[in-house]
Amino acid sequence: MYLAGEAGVIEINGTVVVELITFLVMLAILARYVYPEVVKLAEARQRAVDEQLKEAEKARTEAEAHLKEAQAKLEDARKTAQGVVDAAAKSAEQLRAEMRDKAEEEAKRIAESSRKEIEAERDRALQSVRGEVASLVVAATEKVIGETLDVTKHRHLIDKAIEEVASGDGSR
Amino acid sequence: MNINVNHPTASLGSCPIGPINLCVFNYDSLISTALAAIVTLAVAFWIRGQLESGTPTKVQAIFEWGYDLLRGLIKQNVSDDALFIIPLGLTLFLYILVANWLEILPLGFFPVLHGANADWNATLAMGLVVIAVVQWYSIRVLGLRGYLRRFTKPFELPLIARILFIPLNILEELVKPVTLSLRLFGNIFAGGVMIFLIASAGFHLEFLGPVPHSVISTILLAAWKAFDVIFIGFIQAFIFMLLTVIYFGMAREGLEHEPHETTQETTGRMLTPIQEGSHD
Repeated sequence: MYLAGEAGVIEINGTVVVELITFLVMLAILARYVYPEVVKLAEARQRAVDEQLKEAEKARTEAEAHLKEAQAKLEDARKTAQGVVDAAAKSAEQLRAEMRDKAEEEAKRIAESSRKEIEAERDRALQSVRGEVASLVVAATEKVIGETLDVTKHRHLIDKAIEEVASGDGSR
Repeated sequence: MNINVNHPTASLGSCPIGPINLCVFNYDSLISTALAAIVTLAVAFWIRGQLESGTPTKVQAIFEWGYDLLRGLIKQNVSDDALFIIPLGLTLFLYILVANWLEILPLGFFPVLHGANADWNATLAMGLVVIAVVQWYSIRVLGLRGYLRRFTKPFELPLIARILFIPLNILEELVKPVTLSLRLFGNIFAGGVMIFLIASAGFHLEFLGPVPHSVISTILLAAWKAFDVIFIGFIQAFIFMLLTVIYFGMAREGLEHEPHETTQETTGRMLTPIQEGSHD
């Protein structure tokens, strides 16, 4: 073995064989002791990152869905509340109308019964006046003609006269 | 001014296979490679420890960013289930990065060290590994028939034209490890030469006196290393990994029903044959 030689810049010699073996040995050591671990870790991390991204995406969509749901619920609640208010207003209006109608009816009824009572009273009064007048007429006529009238005999006549007078009054 | 860019060798005799003497070794490259490999292993185990610690650290964040990037590249260019590329791609990237960044060290003090990829032997070794695995993957995915059929692209041409294309396709496949390795080697080698030149140029400033001379040389060298070693070194490591993934994607050409989504699909199915052709 001697060390005095020189090789040109692009001269291929035994060095290439040693370099090849060196590289393959290095590759073998790394492939045996480093890469399985490193690739496993890197892939696991990659997967974890992917999963986290997916999860974040899922959470985002879920949150969006929740927000939408909440908005829908809010809208729903607003509608319901509006419905309740509307219904209350309507029923109040109805109640008022009902009460007014009832009051009007009551007033009418009272007025009607008063009118009827007054009429009945008047009729009764008239009736009693009529009876009184008939007696008075009998008495007066007895005095005037000096004899007793047969009430039962002339009753019809008297009543007819009173009726005529009364109907004359009643027509006005 | 002469720069000796040759590699010092150790020879165990003469056992030539064609023009290649397999018993001669560039020991500077071997030492640099060994150092880069040890540092790479140390960094890889350290990263594993950081990941296992459970508490998220900056290292973990950076690693996961890179890991996801590589995984995305593989999914986009190759297929969802081709995750076996991850170890190869990560090793290539990490090792090339460490090997390139060796040049951050003041290599003037360690003449036996250089960026490990400043030797074509080193980069060709990786290129051969990549292309060998690509061939294996191509046969596994397409079957032997599909694999051989791939050498008759473009598929839409008449049979005679496709037969004429066979030598070109074989050449293309053979050239892949060469271009892959020469690109990396050329970049790193040239970067090393530039470092040497800038360091040497400092000697012409000695007339300024020792302090300004040192300051200017240091600033120039630091600026160059920041750009070439750190930035270009990183880019080259990434490109090597990216091309590896792309070669795996090309190994699937001719698959009837692509089960994975390729970027080409977004531009429409009709364009795909043309674009497959333009890969070459």
